[in-house]
Amino acid sequence: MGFVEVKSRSSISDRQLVVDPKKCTGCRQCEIVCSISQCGVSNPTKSRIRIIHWRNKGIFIPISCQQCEDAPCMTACPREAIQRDTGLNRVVVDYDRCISCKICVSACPFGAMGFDPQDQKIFKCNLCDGDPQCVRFCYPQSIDFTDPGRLQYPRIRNAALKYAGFGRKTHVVFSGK
Amino acid sequence: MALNRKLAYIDLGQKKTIVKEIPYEWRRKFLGGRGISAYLLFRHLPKGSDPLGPGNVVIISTGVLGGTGFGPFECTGITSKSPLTGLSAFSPVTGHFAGEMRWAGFDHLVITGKSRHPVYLYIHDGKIDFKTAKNLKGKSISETLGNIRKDLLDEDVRALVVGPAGENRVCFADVSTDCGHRAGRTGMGAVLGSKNIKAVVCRGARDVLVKRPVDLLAYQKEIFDRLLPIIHLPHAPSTFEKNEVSIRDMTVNSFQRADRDSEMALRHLIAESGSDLFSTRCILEWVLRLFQAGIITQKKIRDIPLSRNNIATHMEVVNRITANKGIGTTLSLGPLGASKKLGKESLSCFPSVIELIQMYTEAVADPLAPAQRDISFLKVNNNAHEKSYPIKTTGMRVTDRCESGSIDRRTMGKMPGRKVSEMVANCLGFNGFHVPEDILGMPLFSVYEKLLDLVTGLRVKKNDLAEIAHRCYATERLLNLRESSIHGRPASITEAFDVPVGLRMTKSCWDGLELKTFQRLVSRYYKGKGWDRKSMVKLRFFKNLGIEDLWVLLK
Repeated sequence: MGFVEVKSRSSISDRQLVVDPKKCTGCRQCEIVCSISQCGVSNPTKSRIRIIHWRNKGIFIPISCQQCEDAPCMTACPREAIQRDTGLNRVVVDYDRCISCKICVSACPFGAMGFDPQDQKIFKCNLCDGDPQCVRFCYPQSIDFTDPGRLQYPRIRNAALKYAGFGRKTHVVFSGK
Repeated sequence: MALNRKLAYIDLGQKKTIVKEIPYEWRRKFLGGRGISAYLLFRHLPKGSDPLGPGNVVIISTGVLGGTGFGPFECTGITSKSPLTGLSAFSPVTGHFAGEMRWAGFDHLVITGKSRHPVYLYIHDGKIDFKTAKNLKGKSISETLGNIRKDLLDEDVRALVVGPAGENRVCFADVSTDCGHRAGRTGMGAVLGSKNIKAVVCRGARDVLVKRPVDLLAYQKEIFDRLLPIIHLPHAPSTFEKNEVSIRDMTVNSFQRADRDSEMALRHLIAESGSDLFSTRCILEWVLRLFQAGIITQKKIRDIPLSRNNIATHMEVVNRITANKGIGTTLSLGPLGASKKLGKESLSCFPSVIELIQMYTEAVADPLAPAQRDISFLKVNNNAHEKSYPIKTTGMRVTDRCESGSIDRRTMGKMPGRKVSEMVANCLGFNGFHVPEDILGMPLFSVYEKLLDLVTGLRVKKNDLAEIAHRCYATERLLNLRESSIHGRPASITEAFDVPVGLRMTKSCWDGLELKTFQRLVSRYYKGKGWDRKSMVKLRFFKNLGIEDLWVLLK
């Protein structure tokens, strides 16, 4: 038996952008920061991440590119301008090949592909080259850039806490009842 | 050009709009937000116009930093002649409206005249549409918003909405945003309602240019990291807290609280009717006391069975105030107005002087130091008040005392540091940004200076900022002088002191502050600031400030 080489789980290439809608307050800071970071102007319509809300019900859901493994935008592109960047595990647009036909905009099931009418270019989340600004400015920590192995961990922990009955008068698991 | 922005003159009578660029000179003199609004109000408000008449002017404004990612601090300002005080008023409201208005293409909206029929203004991508609001008449805030969203087929519109109280010209009616933030004091809802405006709706996709985006983000991150763990923002609860509470906590301690559900129902009713929560609660308590003192009789209030513990009673009074009917007609004038009908002795039943003054002030108190309240109704910060409650923003004290430098001492006088800071913040488009320098790591004015440079490229020094603050302050004060001399109304709250029975002085900064002391402080303050004994000024004062074009309008 030889030693198995264990890769560091915190390397950038393994990380994914994940959202927890429960924590989102709908402040839209991510939208503004994204547009300033990517375009140099403040304009939420140019943001790569959008907050979809049902304000009366208190529901806010951040939506951005999911960097799908089998990306419909990539499949739909007639010029093969959309490719996977294995270094950062993301889907990127090659603007030298792109003809701005907007088929990818129609193909994306999340509506995460956008079109800038001023520049006549499509745009999508590029994970800010490994340092997403939306994550930096999300103070409620609704958006996270994390290791896939730890995606479910906070929820598992919460579920475990509830199961154990912490916060209740009697601990269901440990009282033996 | 980040400062290449526009303002719109909206004539409701003729349903016409004129769009103009904001001159660069105005930016140098007033920056934006509250400053330019004060200047525009002075220029466009006809002398002695009725606050609830068609002659009054409403200016909705954002600052130069609006929509650039300062979420919890950003504010929209509503400036007009207040029906409550008869003086110029600036009512800030936090929320996302400021940014949306900038993305829609405008920094200032100057609304004049009166519409024949109820309308709402739809501002989108540089255009202004007059949409009919006949079907929205009498609707509550949330119903109005729902209908507008359905009408425009857009869930993401941002709006300033007037409730039924504003429509019926209740003098303390507020304006609510779609997130539930309120421009509570000074009765701006009544002014918009008197112009038959039900809402101002914005939706925009235009760019707001930023001069140095990368540096701005780095600096914003630094500021937020320092501030957000420490500061609780009572006026911007929804931004960084999950539980959205649209109604501010009340400070009327004397109010006997009913059970929680009934209490929430009452709050909901007041909020939906578009009345200022604080003011309405004060009035409710006042009504009960008037009833107990026998000043209001059962005959006057007809069939309302007044009882402290019966929440239905309060709801009925709120409904009458909102509808401006019965006893509500008197109460909707506010305590000072109502006391003219009910008799001066009625004021002695008001919960306390503090509540009375707070009803007439225009801004929320400093979130860091709720005890440090200015007499912002007067725009006076008396020295005695400062001594008993030393201001923590020491950086500001340095700014106004030592670093005034080239600023003319005669015009600068002893303008209190926090007042200067507040004015500059309002011009930038911030509200409640009174932060001690030890938290920020540098004086507040240095932060403003840097932010202005990063966002707009405008290089303004600290002294220039202080001078801008003083210029804006003087413009507001001069307008108040002009208006108060016409109505014969003293530009002070001395009326509140002029009551036969002494008002109870609660433990506060107002302890022992009697009328004579108060008047002495006021006269000393104005003398120190360059005003003469009658608070009148000369042409050279205008020239010093660079606003000599207003001299003609003053006369």
